[in-house]
Amino acid sequence: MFDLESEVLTWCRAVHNTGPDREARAEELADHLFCEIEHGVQQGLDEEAAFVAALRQLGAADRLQSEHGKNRGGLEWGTAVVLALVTCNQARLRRELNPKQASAAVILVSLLFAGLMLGVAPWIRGWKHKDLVNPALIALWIVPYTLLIGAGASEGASWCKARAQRQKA
Amino acid sequence: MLHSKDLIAASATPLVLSILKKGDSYGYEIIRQVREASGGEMEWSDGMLYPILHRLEKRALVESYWGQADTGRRRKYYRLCPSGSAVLSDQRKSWELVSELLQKLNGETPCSI
Repeated sequence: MFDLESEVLTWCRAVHNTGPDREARAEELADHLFCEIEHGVQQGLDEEAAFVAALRQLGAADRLQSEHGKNRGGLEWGTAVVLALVTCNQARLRRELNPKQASAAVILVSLLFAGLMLGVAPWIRGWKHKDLVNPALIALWIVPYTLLIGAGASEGASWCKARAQRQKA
Repeated sequence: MLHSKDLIAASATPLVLSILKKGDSYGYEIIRQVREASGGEMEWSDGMLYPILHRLEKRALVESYWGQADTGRRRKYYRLCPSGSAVLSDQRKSWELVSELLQKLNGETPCSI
């Protein structure tokens, strides 16, 4: 049996399946779809036919996703670049500090920032610019690595020197 | 009459802002008003409007809020912001200039939109 409510919500969630506000966008699209369906039913169609006609009116799901995707680009690319920098800094840290210290630092900093992101989430729920908070925290994630690399450059040099001396002995 | 994609894309923002200047509205109603006001000449594809509304909201030209439709469903409404009103005013001047220019070049007496 055709379940209109379920079909509409499933289709809309398939169109808006990524992004932090995907539920809200899906709900908005669903309302639009219901309006089109109601119009179709008033024209004499049954619910299923009106649903099919409404989908035709809205356009293909992948084209809708593509149109909405134009809005997201900048922030996601920016976050990807910052994450790449964080990864490079982690690699540099492993070269500058001894392996145990480097691993401990990476784990500690990662836990700290993961905790921060989870901790602020309930506080910023209704905030207009909440989408910017996590990318900002990820960008700040680079800072401790940069400081540790600076501190570790001398530490690493001393450690390498000490290790070389132990191996000689 | 088939209107170019560029024309539809360029005119979408001032048209949406003009409709919201008259009062708060929602997606389906905005498309219906455009179709009605143009006598059926301007048929926006339903999928095109929402990315435009979301971009306008990101630029803080409009803001949205959740209300309730007659059927009890949750509905997202949009209202014009003061910055949106200013942008609309500027864009109207640009379109009026183009319209006057076309009329002058056609040897007609320009009239305001």
